[in-house]
Amino acid sequence: MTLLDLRGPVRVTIGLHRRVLWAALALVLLAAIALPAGRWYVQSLAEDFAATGCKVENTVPGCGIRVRGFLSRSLYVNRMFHYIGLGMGVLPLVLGAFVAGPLVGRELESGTYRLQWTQSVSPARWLAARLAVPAAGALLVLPAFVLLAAWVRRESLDTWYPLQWNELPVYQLIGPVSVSYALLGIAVGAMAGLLIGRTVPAMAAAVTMVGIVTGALVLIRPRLWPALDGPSRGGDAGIFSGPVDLSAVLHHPESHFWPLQLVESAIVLALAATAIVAAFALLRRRHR
Amino acid sequence: MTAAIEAHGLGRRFRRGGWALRDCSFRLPAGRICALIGPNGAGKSTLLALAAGVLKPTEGTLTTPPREAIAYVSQDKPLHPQLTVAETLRMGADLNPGRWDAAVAGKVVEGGGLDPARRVRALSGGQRSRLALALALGKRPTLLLLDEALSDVDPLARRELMGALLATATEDGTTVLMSSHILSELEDACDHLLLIDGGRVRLGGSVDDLLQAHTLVSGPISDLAPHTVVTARATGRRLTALIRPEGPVSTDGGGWQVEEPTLEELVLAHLGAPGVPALLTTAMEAAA
Repeated sequence: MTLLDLRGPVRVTIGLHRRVLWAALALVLLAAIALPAGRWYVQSLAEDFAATGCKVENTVPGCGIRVRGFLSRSLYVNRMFHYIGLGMGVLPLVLGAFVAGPLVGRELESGTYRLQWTQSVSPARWLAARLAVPAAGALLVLPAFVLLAAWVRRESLDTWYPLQWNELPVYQLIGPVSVSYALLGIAVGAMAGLLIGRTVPAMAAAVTMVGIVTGALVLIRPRLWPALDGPSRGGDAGIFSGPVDLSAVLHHPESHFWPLQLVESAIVLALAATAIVAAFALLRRRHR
Repeated sequence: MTAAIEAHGLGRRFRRGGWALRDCSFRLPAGRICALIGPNGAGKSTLLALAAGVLKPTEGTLTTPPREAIAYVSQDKPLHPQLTVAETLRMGADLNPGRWDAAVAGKVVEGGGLDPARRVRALSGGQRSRLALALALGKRPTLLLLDEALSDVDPLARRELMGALLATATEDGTTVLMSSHILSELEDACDHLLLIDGGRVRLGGSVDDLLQAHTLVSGPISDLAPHTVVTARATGRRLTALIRPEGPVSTDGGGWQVEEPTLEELVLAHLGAPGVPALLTTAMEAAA
């Protein structure tokens, strides 16, 4: 099976789901515009605020309104970043549901897989094409988006509301784990769709499975790399700064960002690979 | 003579136990047009789905041309409801690079006056059948499998579609296996017959050979040995029987009439006598 063999089935897959794909692309673009726009907005807010001569650290009478306005607007942008991060957290569930339901489960339920299989597309090529479309989307779009988000986060560090690397929504937006979880969603969705073969139950199963795996990994996340003794210097009680071990106070410095992200990505990718292998094995066992 | 389909001990079990098809051995020579006849639940659809590569045999082997060379129209004619007629045909072109014949597919669709911009979900049952057949013929198969493909097409359109089908089959030397539980639908189009009942092959061969292998005799009640009696019915003192003559039938015993049965009589007699051994003429006998 080469990529060339997949051209036709992939084109058909895109044609069948072009509305969903356009909508997904539009959402990603919107978020990709919102992130730098928010960063520049905060920058211009700070410049305007500096021009007024007021200072947050020393709010003299007459500056109260301006300080409040500046702070609350800056906080909006900080919140927006968090919401986009939460969106990234939900993305694997959405991808899982999409693959399990419309992409695979519905075809098995309505019998249209037979149409594909008798239009010269072997079962394995059919599944590969169904997976290639969301996987290519995730691999092409998400890394760029993650780089953009990581840059916006770094730029936020000298603002009033710096985005900490260890906050849950931030952590999953600025590193490779986001791509890994997206691929996990696709893989688990494929397995659930093939296993159950009906649209709605398969979607529910995929969301449940991805949710359980994600939740479990978030819980053990601080243990994926040896933490350092003592409380964090910043005093910020993010998820990694709290006690990892109840008997001793431990923390992860920012230098642990990459090891933590890579270990978690490796685990998630291994799970995704297992799900893909299981899906293809299931397909081969049931159909020739 | 090369075989388009060759089955050896082919069987397929239902998911909940019981056999849809069992111990099925036959060969269909290339270039023949074969009627697959049997009552409801005989295993016709299962056999066609196995030949189409949509189902996997539980046991036995089945040799067919590669997937690219097979076209299959199943009973429920699965099509993607969200595509238009034109998009469905484009899908056929995308999935069958190098094979697709847009002119053939277009002619079948135009024959029914189908609007290319119409969505599949808005088509009537007969129109969907026409589109499914256009997809099947458009890939110029060497083996065409039709499962009650024309059952919901009106009589006028059926004649036209049967004509288009036979024309394509003749031009390309396509092997056709088409099922129906109504023999008269297929009788004049087919040169071979495969009768299955209860998941087993009962009769198979060229129509001429099968008719020649059977004789309808009527005369005074007497022992019909050594001939194989398929059915015998006594009316008064006379006996009417369908037999497979083993050697010459002596007609000089007085008052014996011998005639060739019609295909319909042959089929009905075998369906009414499940205990009679199966008969495959040399043309359709699987090689040992």
